[in-house]
Amino acid sequence: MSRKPAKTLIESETQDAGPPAVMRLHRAVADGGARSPLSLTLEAGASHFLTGDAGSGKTAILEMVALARPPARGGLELFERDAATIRPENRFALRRRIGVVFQDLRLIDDMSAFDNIALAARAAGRDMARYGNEINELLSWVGLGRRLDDLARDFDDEGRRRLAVARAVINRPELILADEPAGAAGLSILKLLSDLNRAGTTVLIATRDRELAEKSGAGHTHLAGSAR
Amino acid sequence: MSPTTPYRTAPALLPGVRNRGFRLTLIMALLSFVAAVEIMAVAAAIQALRDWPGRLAGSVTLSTPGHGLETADAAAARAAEILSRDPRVAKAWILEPSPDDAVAARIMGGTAAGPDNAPPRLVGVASKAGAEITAAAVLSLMGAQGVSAVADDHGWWSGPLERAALLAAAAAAALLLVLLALVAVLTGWGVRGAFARNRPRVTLLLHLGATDKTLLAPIRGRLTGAAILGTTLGILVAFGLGAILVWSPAAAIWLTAQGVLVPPLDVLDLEATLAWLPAAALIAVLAAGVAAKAALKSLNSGAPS
Repeated sequence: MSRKPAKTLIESETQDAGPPAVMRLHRAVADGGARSPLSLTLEAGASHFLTGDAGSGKTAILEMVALARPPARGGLELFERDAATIRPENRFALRRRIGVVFQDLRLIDDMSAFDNIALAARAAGRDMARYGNEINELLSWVGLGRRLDDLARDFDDEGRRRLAVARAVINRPELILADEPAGAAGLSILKLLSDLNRAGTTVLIATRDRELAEKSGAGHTHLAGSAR
Repeated sequence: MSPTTPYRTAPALLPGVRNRGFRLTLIMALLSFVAAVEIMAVAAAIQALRDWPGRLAGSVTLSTPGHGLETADAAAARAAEILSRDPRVAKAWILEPSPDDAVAARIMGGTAAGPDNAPPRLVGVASKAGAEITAAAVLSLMGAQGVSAVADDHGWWSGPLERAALLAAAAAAALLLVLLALVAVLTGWGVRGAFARNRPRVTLLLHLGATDKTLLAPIRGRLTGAAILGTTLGILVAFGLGAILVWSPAAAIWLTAQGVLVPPLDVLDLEATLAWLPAAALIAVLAAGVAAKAALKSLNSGAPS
């Protein structure tokens, strides 16, 4: 899956040259997450897995990178910018460069598949006239092309996960964060993320399935321990 | 399914807010009704209180009990003649005696009566415009001509009236400030409630890259609109009731007969209520903005800082 493996802590401290980093964690500990500090650098186009047991802090780290949770310690850089120096009202600019597949998906159940994705485009300040056809194409790509008008609540688990991936992609993010994206749906969701990575998007996936991460050939960081 | 979507409209960012302004509208209508009634009543009361000192100003009443061999009638006639020659006096005239004067004289005893035991006569004095004559000046004139008299420029009445008007205005202003504070608190409460009800959606939209402005606009706009609608409704109801009292004296008379304290309303008093609308709207807009920003800041505070 991986085209460019993520750097480990030692590498990031000894190698300064190379492509621009999409994300850089420096001994970061997410507020409310696991105590162990994590250093990780993702270069543009990289694919990386965060593995660990339940409570190991995977979700907290992804939320920290998504600017939804502050770091308790350490530093976070996104797209070569120190996240701590960005004023709260200006974080939207970074968030628009990040697509998130939430662990609980966070779809709007009483909205159609089309509108769930349109909401993301609208939130990013885009015009309906420009993203309408993109949504059609995206839903076809995730295999839901014939279910544009079906309500999100009417999809099965796999359909909802596909919809969540499509929503995460609509604004053409440079970094995709996926928290347990496969669920019971299996490899089909990971295949979509792999396609995105092949197209140049940086992907960071959190999963409890260490074996899956090792088989993928992508970069892999295992988080030991549990949250406070 | 059509590959294009010409019939679609963009989904509402926060659809749940659309119908949630009803309670705010109702509360604002009640508040505005109270404010408008208060403005009308106080404006009428202040107008009445200020009207009387105006009527009393520029006039002096002279009481001439007579002195020595000069009767009250003769003293009054001489006083009127002296005053008529003064350039500051527009008119000086002897007031007709009334049965009340005799009653008052008996009550007041001999001090109020002249040598013929008759009650003192009263002389009205009206100043010329721009050349007001005071009670002291009148007494000075009388003293110079040997006329025994007591003068009253009605300051005893107009002072308390003016103070009452001032007090009524201050009390009204304080109450209006309290009502405006309530408008601010209630609008802020409505905005915070809207954010609380939509918290998951707002948080999701923030993660999807929505700006503060994008999120603020619908909530602030809708609740400000609800507040203005309520304010307008409250004022309209009060205005309508006031208009009935202004243009239908029978209604005012009937209400007075029922023991209702009906102020002497004028069209100007009705128009004064319209000042409440921009004041309340401005406060509602400001309060909604402050509350929305605070709520959004709270939701956005999870990120690195």
